[in-house]
Formats: sequence, C-alpha cells, structure tokens
Amino acid sequence: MADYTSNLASSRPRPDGMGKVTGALNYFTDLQFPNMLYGKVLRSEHPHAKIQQLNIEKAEQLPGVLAVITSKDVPGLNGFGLITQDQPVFCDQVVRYVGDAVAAVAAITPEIAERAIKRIEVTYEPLPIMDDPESAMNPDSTPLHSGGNILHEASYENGDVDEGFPLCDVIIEETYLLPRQMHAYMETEGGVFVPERDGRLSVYAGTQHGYKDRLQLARILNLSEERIRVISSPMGGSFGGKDELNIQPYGAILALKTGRPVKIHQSRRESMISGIKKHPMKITMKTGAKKTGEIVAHEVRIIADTGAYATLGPAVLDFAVEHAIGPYVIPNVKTKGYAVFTNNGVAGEFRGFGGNQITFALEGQIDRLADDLHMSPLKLRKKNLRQGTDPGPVGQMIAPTNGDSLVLDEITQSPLLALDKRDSDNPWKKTGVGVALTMHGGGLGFGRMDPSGGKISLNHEGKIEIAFGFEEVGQGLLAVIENITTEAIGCSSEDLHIVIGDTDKVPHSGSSTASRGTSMIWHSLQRLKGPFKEKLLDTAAKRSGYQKEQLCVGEKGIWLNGQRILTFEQLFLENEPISIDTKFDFPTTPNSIPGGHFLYSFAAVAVKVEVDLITGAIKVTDIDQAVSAGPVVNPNGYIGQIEGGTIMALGYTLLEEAAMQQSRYTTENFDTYILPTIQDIPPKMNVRAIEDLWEGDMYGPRGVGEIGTVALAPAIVRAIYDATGHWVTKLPVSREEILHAREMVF
Amino acid sequence: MRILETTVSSPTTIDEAWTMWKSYEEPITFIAGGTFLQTKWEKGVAVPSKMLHLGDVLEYKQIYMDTERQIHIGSFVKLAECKNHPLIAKTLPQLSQTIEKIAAPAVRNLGTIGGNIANCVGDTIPLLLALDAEILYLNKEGRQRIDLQDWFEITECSIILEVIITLDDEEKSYLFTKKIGRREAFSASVVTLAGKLTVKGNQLCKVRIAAGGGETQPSRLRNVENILQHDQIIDSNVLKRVYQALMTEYQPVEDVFYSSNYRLKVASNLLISELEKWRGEYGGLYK
Ligand SMILES: Cc1cc2nc3c(=O)[nH]c(=O)nc-3n(C[C@H](O)[C@H](O)[C@H](O)COP(=O)(O)OP(=O)(O)OC[C@H]3O[C@@H](n4cnc5c(N)ncnc54)[C@H](O)[C@@H]3O)c2cc1C
Repeated sequence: MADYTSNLASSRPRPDGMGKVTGALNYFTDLQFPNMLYGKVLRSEHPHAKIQQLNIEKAEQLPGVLAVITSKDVPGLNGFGLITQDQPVFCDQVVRYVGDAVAAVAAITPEIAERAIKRIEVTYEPLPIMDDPESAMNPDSTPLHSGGNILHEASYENGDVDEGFPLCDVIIEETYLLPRQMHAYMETEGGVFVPERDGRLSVYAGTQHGYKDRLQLARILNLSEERIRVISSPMGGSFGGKDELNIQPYGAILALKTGRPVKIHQSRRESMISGIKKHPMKITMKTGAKKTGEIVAHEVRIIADTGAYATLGPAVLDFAVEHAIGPYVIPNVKTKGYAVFTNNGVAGEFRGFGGNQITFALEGQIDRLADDLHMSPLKLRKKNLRQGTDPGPVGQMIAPTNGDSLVLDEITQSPLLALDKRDSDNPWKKTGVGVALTMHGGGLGFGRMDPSGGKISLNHEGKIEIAFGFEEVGQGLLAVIENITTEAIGCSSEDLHIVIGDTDKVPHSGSSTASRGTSMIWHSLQRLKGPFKEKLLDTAAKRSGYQKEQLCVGEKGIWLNGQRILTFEQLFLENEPISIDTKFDFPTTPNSIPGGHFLYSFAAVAVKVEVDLITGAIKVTDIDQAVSAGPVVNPNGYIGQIEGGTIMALGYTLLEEAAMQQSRYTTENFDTYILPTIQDIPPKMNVRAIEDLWEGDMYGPRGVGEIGTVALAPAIVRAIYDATGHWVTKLPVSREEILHAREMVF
Repeated sequence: MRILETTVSSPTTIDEAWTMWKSYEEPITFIAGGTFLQTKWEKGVAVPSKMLHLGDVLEYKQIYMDTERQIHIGSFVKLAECKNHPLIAKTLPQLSQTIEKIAAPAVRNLGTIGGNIANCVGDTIPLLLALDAEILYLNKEGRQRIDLQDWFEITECSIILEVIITLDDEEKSYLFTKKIGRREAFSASVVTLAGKLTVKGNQLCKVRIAAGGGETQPSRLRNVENILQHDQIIDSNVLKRVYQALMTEYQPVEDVFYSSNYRLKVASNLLISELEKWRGEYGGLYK
C-alpha cells in the first residue's frame, strides 16, 4: 500500500510533442500571406441595448482601410449556432451581451484596423440588464428572444420523492453555486481567410469540427459547402471553447469582400469578452437517507445561466440532469433543470459539459449525509452504488459496467486517506483529506446525430494514409491515431501518413468533443483493419505469387515467414487503389431519453489540502486519482489528460472565475482572471488506470478528455471540511469565507 | 508593420538626461524598464506622446557597499540582477526573496528597482521602508538624499538614482517580508507586510513595520511600531492592541476581488504570526 504511484508506463514522445514544447510549431494565427489584411471586430459596449444608429463612414475614410462591414454585408444567414442559429453574425437592432458584434473592418495594419474600429459611431439606447437567471425566468421579465427567457427545460422523475422523504431519518438540503470558468486556451481565437483564384475560400482557423464550420459558414456566406475549405488543425487549445464559430464569419466576409487574405487574431481581452464560458449554475438538492445509509429520495433543481445565445446550452443542461444521481441507486428522484437566457456573456460547451457542476452538488450531498449519519464517506458511497448491469442514471439501458466500484476500491487504497492529519505543528495551518466519485457519459447521447468514421488507404508514396475528421486541439490526437493504427494494422509508425484537419482531405468523423475522439478512432480501426489488410494481402499475393494465407502485414511491407517480400511502395498501383472507409454512429442507448448516454467512464479522487489560517488560502498538496475508462491507448496522453484535467478543475475550485457585475466582466485579462501556475499545483499526483471492462464489452477504450475534471472539486471541499469543520457551497472557494468561518466555527 | 507614435529620448549619461529633462517645458514621463507602464497602457491608459528613457544611462546600474557599510543599489539595476547579486544574497537575502515574488522571470529581466519604487506601489517598498532605506535622487536643482518614506511625500518630479540601505552591525535583528498574492506566484500583491525588530542588550531598541499591497501605497505603521517598542514584552494583551492599531492605521484599498476588511485580517494575521515566530527565536534574549 505504501507504493501508490501512477501505474502507467511512460510511452514514446508524441509525434507533435517537440514542435509544441519548443514553440517551433506554427499555428494558423502565425501564418502570413502576401497582401494580407488585418481584421478587427467591433463589439458591443453594452450588455443589452437597442442600436439606434450605426455610422461607418469615418472608418471607411481612414487611409489603409479596405472594408468596413455590418449586418448589411452578410451574404446569407445573419446567424450562427451549433444547433439553433440564434446568434447574429452582426447585430442590427439589439445587442444582448458585451461581446455581440456590430461591425468589422479590414485594414493594411492591425493599428489602422484598431483606429478604424474607434471611428465607427454607434448610438445605443441601453435596455434593462438581465443579469440574474432567476429573475429572467420570471414571466414578467423582458424576453431576450422571441421564445422567452427559458431556453430549455429538462427533467427526470422516478418513483415519488414525496413518498420517499417521509421515510428518511436524515435529510440534507443545500444550494451550490458554480462559477463561470474560462477555457483559457493558449492560442486565442483567430485565423487567416484566403480567397483562392478558383473562387473558393480557404479558412485556416482552429475548430473542433472542420465540417461543422464549413456548414455554418456556407449558410452565412450563401455559398455551397464545396466552395469552402476549412483547414483546422493543429490549434493551441480549445477545451470545448472553439467548437462553436467565433471569428470565422468576420474573416470570411472581409476576405470575400476585399478579395485579399484577411487575418484576425483576438487579443486576450477580446477573447475574454466574446468567447463562450462554462455555465454558471445554481443547484439546489434535497437528499434523504435512512439510518442504515440507504439513500431514499433525491430532489434536484438546476438553474443554468446560459447567457445571451443558445449554442450548446440545452445539451449541457440535459447532461447535468442526466448525471444528477451519478452512479448511485436512488428509488425516488425528481430532477428539474432550466437553461435561462441572460445578458451575461454566452455560456456553452466546456470540458466536463455540465458534469462538473452537478457532481459538485451531488458529491457534496453524499458527504454531508455521511457526516450526519456518522458513516465513512467511502462506505456510504459503496452502499448506494449501482451494480454492473443496473440501468444508467436516467433509467436507460447502458453498456454493463462496474467501473464505479472498481475506482472506489482502488481509491480506498490511497495512503492519503489513512493520513493522521494532526501531525502539523504549525498553528496557522490545518490539513484535511477528502474523496469523491463520478461517472461521465461519452458521446453526444440519444437523439443527437452522432455519426463518425474514418478512411484508410495506401498512397503513392507507399504510406498507409489514415484520415479522420477529428482535430488536434492539444489532446494528443496524433499519438492516439498512431498507436491504434499501428496496433490494428501491424505496420510501424514510419509507415503511416496521418491526415486530419482539412475538409478537402478528410472523411466525416464528427466533432472532437464529448470524449469521443479516441473511442471513435478505435471503433473505426476495428472496422477498417480487416478489409484493408485483406486487400493488401490480396494484392500482395497476386503480385508475388505466394499464397495469401501465408502472408502477413508487418513493418514497412508484407512479410512471409520472417522475411519481407514486398514493400508498401511496391504494392501501390495507380489504377488499383487500395482504400477502405467506414461510417457508423457512436453507440447510444436504445431508450428515447434526450442526450441519454450508453458508454461511461468513472473516476475517484483523493486529495489532501492544507488550509492557511493566515490568508484562508487552500493548498492542494496531494492528489490520487483512479480512472476506469477501458484500455489505455497512449500512456503519456492518458496521464496528460487526467493530470491536465485535474489541474483545470483545481483552478475551477480554488481560483478561476470570469466574474461579472451588471453583465460586464470584471476580469478582462489574465492579470485578474487567475489560472493556476506550476506553483499552485501539487508536486505529486498519482493516476491509477483501471483497464478492465465488463466481461464481453466490445466498446474498447473510452475517451479520457473530460473525466479527470469532474471529481476534484467535491473532494477538495470535503478536505476543507475535514480540516476546518466548515462546508463550502460556492466555488471558487473564497479565502475571505474561510477566514470568516475560522472566526465563527473553528 | 508597427507604428510608434511616441517620441522617446534615450540619454546615455545622467548629465545628458538631466539637461534634456530641464529643457522640456511640459512634464515628461520617465521610462526605465517600461514594465509597470505597460500594465497601465494595457488597461487603456493613454501612451504619452513623449518619454525620457533612462534605461540606457550608463551610471546607476551597479550595486556596491561603501566604507560605512551602506549598500547602494543603482536605480537602473534590473530586478533580476538585484535578486541574484552576491552582495544582496549575502547581506539582504530578504530583498532577493521579495524580488523573487515579483512578476515572472521575463518581467524581472526588464523591470528595474528604481521603477519598482517610483511607481509607488512596488512590492519592494515595504521591505525597504522596514530597512530605513534612503533615496538618492535628482531634481531640477541637483542631487538630493532623503529617507524613502519622505521621498513619497515630495510632490515635485524627480529621478531616482540610488536606493541606499545602511546595514547595522546589530546581529540580533529579525527581518521579515511577506507578500500575499491571489495565487502562489506571478500575481499582483493583495497584502505585503515587512518588518524589522532589533534587539540591543535587553531592549527591543527599534521596531519597523510597513505594509502595502495592491493599489495601497505602502507606508510605515508607526502606531504599531510604538506599541511594540513601548511594551517590549509581546503577550496576548499587547497583540490585541497591536491588532487595534493596525485596524486604524493600515487602510488597504479594496477591489472587486478582495475587500479591505479581508486585507486587514490578512495583514494582522501575518503580523501576529511573525511576532510569534520572532518571540520563538529571539524572545528569550531579553526579559
Ligand atoms: C506581468 C507583470 C507582472 C508584474 N508583477 C509585479 C509584481 O508582482 N510586483 C511588483 O511590484 N510589480 C509588478 N509589476 C510591475 C513592474 O514590473 C515592476 O514594478 C518593475 O519594478 C517596474 O520597473 P520598470 O523599470 O519596468 O518601471 P517603468 O514601467 O519603466 O516605470 C514605472 C514608473 O516609475 C517611473 N520611473 C521609472 N524609473 C524611474 C526613476 N529612476 N526615477 C523616477 N521615476 C522612475 C516611471 O515614470 C513610471 O511611472 C509587474 C509588471 C508586469 C508587466
């Protein structure tokens, strides 16, 4: 037990590692083209206002300005949005948040573009600001959109809570407040838009889904999709933040209008104001249990502040509703959630997808119950855990799994939990430990088009070309493709030519989101490998005269009895192309529950914290994490995702908040939006990967992009309670609150 | 293509700087490393049309000790150089520690010690106040030397040339400096507190406590100093009065992230914990 370290062997450096670490790699925002112009977007000064007048003349007159565009210049649909196109490319009547675009310019230098923006005259009539979702829900409130302020309602009911609560010996009722987190990708939104000689438009801009950008841009530009080429990988981070369109419509319209390449690259300040964020949520939970620890009833109300436009707000809410009981069996459940329009920026997709918020509340309830029941938190969890073949959290059929129980058993071994916390001799420090558990659905879920696919072929250079429509957002996609493909085909990594991020070259794989990339690549290769190897061997047999059954695909070619008899290059023939593609859907539950998932991953986290009684600061000194997500495809990538996700969650728990007052950001840059740095993270983190799947499981590795972000916050809050006796309900943990509590409680 | 719309003059000697400065009719902005000014511009403060750049001045770029055990730190010494200087590391390690907590390496390679003091909210100031540092500066009349605390009171414009710290031979002094930021590193200060307690014979003969942080201009807390010096023995009763004094004397500026009440609590906790530490280490020296 003393030896509790990461059980993942270090693997080879990833193919794109060196370029990224040294900074040698060029991102699209580093690109330069001859005659390139610089674009800039004028965004609203007001969170909510009528546009009375818009005058661009003075900007147009500025020497060096080549185009000034407004809503009048949008050739097609003046709107975008992954599901509902309710966000105007340019507002012409009303602005609904401080990032709303009103106009854009293209000029020969960024400075001139900046000055031109300042010369655009907009007269606004400020309207009442809707900065609180609960008041916005009020039927008397001014509607921000024609359908009213409730964007989406979601609910789940099972049993009868009204009958359940009277049976309980202990009932915990608490409200949890979760902050607006920023993705804080290294590379802010940007790219270059190039009108080509043949009349097509090339878009060099990072996104999580090139084809989706192409579709959205085609609608806006009134062009057929084929006339747009989206080149979209690699990019400097996304975390869900670049799945939706951002600057692409402006760059595209400016490029088409001027006939010249246009670059737009947002400053951090522009990114902060215009970019989407994680949903702030207010979650009230009432949970009751019997003396024995059996949880009987659970009532949940979720209010999600979705900001000014829809984007993926409805799906995030569905996810939170689905995960409201997590991996526990509770006979009486009533969950009701609302995603509400406000003037507070725009909330949308973010790593964790609503799971972070709901799990914070749920695990908080379990911990408080354990406390009231005088039961160990681990024991209470274990007692109420679902069994391997039980249905999923919303009663749906899921792939059988006991991942929850495996991670719980594994984390029980963490030496952190056996710690004697009274060892500190510093009167100004208190230490505590905490643990939390979570499950997280992968894929988009029931009722959402979730097709994927890939293509494998032998190219003229004798390389095995493997192509996917997924994007490299920093997650290590190339290493995943490389590992899965070489293992499936039997070739070496040098034999591969990986193609991603270019709509002219790749098949449709769906978005690089929802922890689906790794999983879908594995599924693709399970389908591709047989027919592809078959074709290679057929050709080889024909060419060599040997019997096909005796041949096998290996490094650099076709092998017979330990001898290479043909190279891949020799196998290629122009008029006999060897190429296989596959199309399929992400496995989903058969039950018709909007967004209901079929495949889940699990994590349990143990942490140790040190509470500084001088400042109220919390220092996380150790983190152990057990993860069950199927076989590990790439050990370094796996550790990277879990550790990286954990640190993102550490920021969420202790430091990060895109704070607003009156629907305006009070954090406009990284000097006030505080991210963890290397000094804020524990020197030691252990990741224990559990690769076992339920017997007969055919679904392979699950993605690990999100699971590492979910369980940390409740574990930290439990540890703070352990140290101080004070329960935190609002993130990020306020140092002021800790100092105050110290005077009151401990 | 970047277009700079500011005229910058870069004298190479201090006399040249002085002559240039005197020839300007309107007030002119001095710039050394430019790292503090940059943060203002980033927040939307207008870039001045004219600047006098002092970073190329040859003099006042060194650190030395004179025969009277006075350490002279040239105003244009970069923060990083100051932090790593052997003389500072040996005689004033607390200054190195303080600088280590300012910004990040790249900023410390550009920012100067003079700029840190002249911007009036720099993190080195509380420690320098606790050390009774003096300032050598240049006004339109010539060179002047003055206590750091008094330099802040001067309203006329001046160029800082040196900060001078007199090392006392009293070995029984306890010097501390604490910066509390919003995270462990690379953060603006929320509270900065520094102090020096000097014991001679059986007497706590000198007490210096100074506090700043954020937009709060650092200053000495004279009432707190007086209580400690007067009462000599630091028991819980004295600590209570110290706390009271601090509450009235330290007036931290608040922002949307931290209230002044929080800053006060942190400052008093810091002070009390340091006094406890001091008592543990040195308290037995006098009874
Ligand atoms: C990212 C970042 C983080 C930072 N973090 C910190 C921090 O944690 N703590 C901290 O204290 N500071 C911080 N700073 C501010 C700054 O880096 C330091 O205060 C630095 O010491 C300023 O020195 P400088 O030479 O760059 O000053 P400048 O910016 O050149 O000048 C600062 C001010 O002093 C005046 N001035 C400069 N030199 C003289 C002189 N010799 N005589 C008279 N007036 C003069 C200038 O006119 C100006 O008003 C940070 C800055 C940045 C960009």
